[in-house]
Amino acid sequence: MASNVTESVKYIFAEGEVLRKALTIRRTEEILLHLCRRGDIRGTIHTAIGQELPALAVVGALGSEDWVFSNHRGHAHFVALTDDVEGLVAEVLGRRTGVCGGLGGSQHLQASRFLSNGIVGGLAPAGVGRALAARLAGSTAISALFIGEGALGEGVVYEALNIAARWRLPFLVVVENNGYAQSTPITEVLAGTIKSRADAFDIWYRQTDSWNLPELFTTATDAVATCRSGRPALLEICTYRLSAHSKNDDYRDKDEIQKYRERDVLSHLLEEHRQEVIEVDRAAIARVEEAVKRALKADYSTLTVKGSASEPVDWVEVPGQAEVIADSIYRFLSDSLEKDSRVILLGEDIGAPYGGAFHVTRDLSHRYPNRVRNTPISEAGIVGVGCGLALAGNLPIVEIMFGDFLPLAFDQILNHAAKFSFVSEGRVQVPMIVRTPMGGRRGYGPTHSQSLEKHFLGIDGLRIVALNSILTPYALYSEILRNLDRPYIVIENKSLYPCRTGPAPIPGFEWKISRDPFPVVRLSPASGKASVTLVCYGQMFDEVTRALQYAFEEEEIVCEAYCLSLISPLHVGALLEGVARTRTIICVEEAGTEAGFGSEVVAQLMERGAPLNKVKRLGAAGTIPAGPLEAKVLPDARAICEAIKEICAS
Amino acid sequence: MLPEIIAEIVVEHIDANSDKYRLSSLCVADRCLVESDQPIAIIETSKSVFEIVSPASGRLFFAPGVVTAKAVQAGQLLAVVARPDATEVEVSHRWHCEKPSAPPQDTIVRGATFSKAAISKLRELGISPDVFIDKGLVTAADVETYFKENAM
Repeated sequence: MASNVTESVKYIFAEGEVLRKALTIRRTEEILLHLCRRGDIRGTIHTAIGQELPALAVVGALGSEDWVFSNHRGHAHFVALTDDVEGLVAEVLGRRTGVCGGLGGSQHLQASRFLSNGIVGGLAPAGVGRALAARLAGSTAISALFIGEGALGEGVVYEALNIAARWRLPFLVVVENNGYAQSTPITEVLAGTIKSRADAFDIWYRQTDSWNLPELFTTATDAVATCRSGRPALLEICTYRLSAHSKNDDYRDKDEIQKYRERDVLSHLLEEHRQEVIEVDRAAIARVEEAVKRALKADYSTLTVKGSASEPVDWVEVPGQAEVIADSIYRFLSDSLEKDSRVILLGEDIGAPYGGAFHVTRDLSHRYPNRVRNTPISEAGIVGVGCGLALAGNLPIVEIMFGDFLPLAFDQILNHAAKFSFVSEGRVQVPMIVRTPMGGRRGYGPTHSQSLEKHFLGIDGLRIVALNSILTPYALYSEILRNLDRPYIVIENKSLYPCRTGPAPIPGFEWKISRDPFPVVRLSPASGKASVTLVCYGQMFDEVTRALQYAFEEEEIVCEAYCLSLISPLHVGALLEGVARTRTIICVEEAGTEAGFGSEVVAQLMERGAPLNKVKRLGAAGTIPAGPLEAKVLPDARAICEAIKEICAS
Repeated sequence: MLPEIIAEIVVEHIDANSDKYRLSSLCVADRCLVESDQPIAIIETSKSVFEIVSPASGRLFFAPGVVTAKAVQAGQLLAVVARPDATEVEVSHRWHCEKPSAPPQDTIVRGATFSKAAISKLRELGISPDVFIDKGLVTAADVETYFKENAM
């Protein structure tokens, strides 16, 4: 692409604010690199030296309600939108006065209408979700996502493009094509052209570059306007970063770098038009240096780690309501859609007449066509779009058709939904529910029968609730929605869908629940003492309940059982009293036991000083085969009863 | 592959004295569409008549042999409810795990669960299980203790 230096110089002198901001970004980046070399910055930075003008062109065309989703190389986008050099510098230096209180660092910036993080392409579906939120609210706001061309290797970007194109959302993707995915030339790793990708989705596409400023700014304005008219757009901006990928890692040809430095408009201005820009340049340098001085005097950020308090447990009667579980979930979704216009349901095949793979959502899409939407088969996209909706103040409830597919959305849960609140010091919340049918006992085979929630246990910022056959899902879900301030995963064991909730009376045993928002259900002997404590969650509680009966009937072994509703974060307080009496615990789960739920229960009990003499974990014996063979792998009441007998005999 | 079967209908153990019931009538035809809570069969025990209802909406497929059967057993799979568009489903596969077998009929008393050893002891000592009404969990030792205390 031929540069037009004269026209570009004329343009930038005419746009005084562009010149000021461009030089401010340039000097900020240079000084941050200097601080890195000096050792003042812990961690890394990815500067945008040479890429200032694409950021200013696009952001300058945005409106006051539009959002920017950026990436690890986001300083230029951030300053272009917020002009908050002081907040950026303090943030990178890890200070309390930083834009994220020093918690996010260079790559994780959050401000009003701005979000960036270090997962390449990861924010694409959130950008789409934000655009969807604008559409649903009747707003003309758009989402602008900045990615490098290297991000076009990430599948989630295509999921986002597909959804944005299919739903015709105001979503602008700006591909800053600087020719390198970190150290790898893009010609080595990207097949086809960037244009062909936009064409594949029937998305508006233009290409421009950062050396022809009149064309760059005009094209950026066109791209934003196109988006605002309700059409997704992809703007490719050819550019070049003059600095290393991060701090010192630059193995590119030095002659090539020099060639682009001579093309760079800002470098040209600073060398060939020094006197004309000296005032603006000195002001920029002074501002950044002052920001550094102030930041270096400020306190480092601090972090308070909360421990879990030990509180006495109050046991109360189980509410007597009996409801078919699938019906209870449907009723919750229906009532929520009716009462709160912020509730939005997304998922594969949730629309009527199909109504969901397990017939939970039924006719809801007929009754709320805008707010109950079928999605493509794009698990990462579904959760990411949910994040974007949540960022905009909606209450998305997204369904992942089988829990076995949840790993496809792992990054969106771990690195996005669960972290946005942390990096923003709580200013941003992600009130989202991810519902998913989990577990076996239907013979569906290795990739449709697993219990994968264990791989999500312990993720900071995320809660996991497991339904069971005692408490109505309506009550649990209502509790979640009432205080929804973070993402939740709700495990719905598929074998429970046709079951009615409520405890079946077992003479000699009593049912209680803990007085908690997410109660622990306890089945214990009405009189006398138990000699074994069983702990579980979800559908496994039904197997445990039967096992308790077998154990007594066959061996006169009296047990008690606890079923947790909230399984992450895990709190064992309700188990302490029982375990202190029995000193013998069997943790039962449908997943494999290694590094799982049972391990965590035992570890926490030990840490809390529980006097455990005997411990056993019971879980899936291996990969779950299809058909009736799965009964050999999944623990059932008979296997649990054998474990009870073994532990008592040991 | 998406599941076709939404729910299964298993004959519950509804009569403490028996686990075999007369299948009085079927309320719906095989493979018809049913609604949640719609009655699908009437069964009779020695004491009363019970309606079995569908737990879900969809297309009902009776288990092999049910349509012509005169009796059903507690724990038996009666039917499955599949998606409305299902045409054929594999009904023979049982998913429910083993349910506890019904205790012997002469030991069913209100509010008491007997161990097998306790049941044997009752028979051995000729004690009526009724003496343990509302006694909760009853072990063989409890039966022995009762025997000694009452010097039978």
